[in-house]
Amino acid sequence: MNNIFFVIIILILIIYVFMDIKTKKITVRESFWWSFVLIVMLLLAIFPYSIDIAAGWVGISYPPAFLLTLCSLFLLMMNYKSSKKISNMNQKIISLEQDLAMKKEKTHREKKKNG
Amino acid sequence: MRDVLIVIPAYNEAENLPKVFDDLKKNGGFADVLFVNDCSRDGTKDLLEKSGFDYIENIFNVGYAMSVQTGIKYAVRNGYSYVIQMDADGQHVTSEAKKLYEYIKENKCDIVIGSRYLRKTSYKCSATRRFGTKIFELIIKIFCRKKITDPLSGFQCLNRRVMEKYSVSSFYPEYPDTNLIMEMIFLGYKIKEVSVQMHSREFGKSMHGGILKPFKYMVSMFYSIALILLQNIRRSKHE
Repeated sequence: MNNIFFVIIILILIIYVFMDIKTKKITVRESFWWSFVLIVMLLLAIFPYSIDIAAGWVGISYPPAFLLTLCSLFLLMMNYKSSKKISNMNQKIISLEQDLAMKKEKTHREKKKNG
Repeated sequence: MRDVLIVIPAYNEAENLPKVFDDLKKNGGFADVLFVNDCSRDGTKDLLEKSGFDYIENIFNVGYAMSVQTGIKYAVRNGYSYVIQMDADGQHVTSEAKKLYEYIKENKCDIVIGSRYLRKTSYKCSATRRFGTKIFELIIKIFCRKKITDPLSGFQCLNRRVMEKYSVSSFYPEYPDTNLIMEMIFLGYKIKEVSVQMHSREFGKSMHGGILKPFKYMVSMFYSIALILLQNIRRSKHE
């Protein structure tokens, strides 16, 4: 019963992401990792014992702790990716700002020259 | 058009600007002048408009470093051979700027820093500032084996090669001080210092004023320096 509940929740989330891609609210590239993790979560909800096996492989005796670690790592990775994106965008915005400011100065100077 | 451009970033400097204008009009005949107004809210823009000096008005506030970079980009695009960075708070003297310009031309170096501490001058600064400067001087001495007595001086003259390097968006840091000097030394640029006279700021607050800002500045600076040292280890391993 529990499994069905989680499967339904995850399916709703997958549809939500898919709709966002369709309406261009998120790009295909940006949605990739979210789709990937949702599919992994779906598989884990369908085959819950796979967590026990995977936890055993990495030597974690308490499987929910393994799941929590995976989730934390994923969220940290996504957060870091966002920081990188913000830095990159900041640089581009400032570069655009500088170009625009210089163009404004040029126009202002030409206007002054032409009276 | 002259071959040197004086770049002066300004943020809320309306009280200090009249004196700066007078000094530039009296002693700045050797250079073109460009102010970069970083969206000041105190009438700086009106003063610049009336002054007759060229100025760039930022679209939004981008901070000191990016305003300096705007001026450098402008100089690169308009074919200047040298840029002199000066502050709009009246600390930097135009006649001393001429000294930097003449020195860079005669000695064929890449960056000339106007130093308050190379020789004894009448400039007075707080003990904490002097202590901070000494720490950075020591760091440069240890890691770059070069004596730079005033690594926090924003009063610098750059040649075209440096201007082109600085105008690359990803290269110019948020705090272009000791970290940038170290990086330029590691990259093989020739840096010299010239003793200059500076005045103390008369009106307004410094951008590093307060309690938290100097602390944030020091932490950022140490972090940037650590990254540059790591990069340099990697660079020297590749070479």
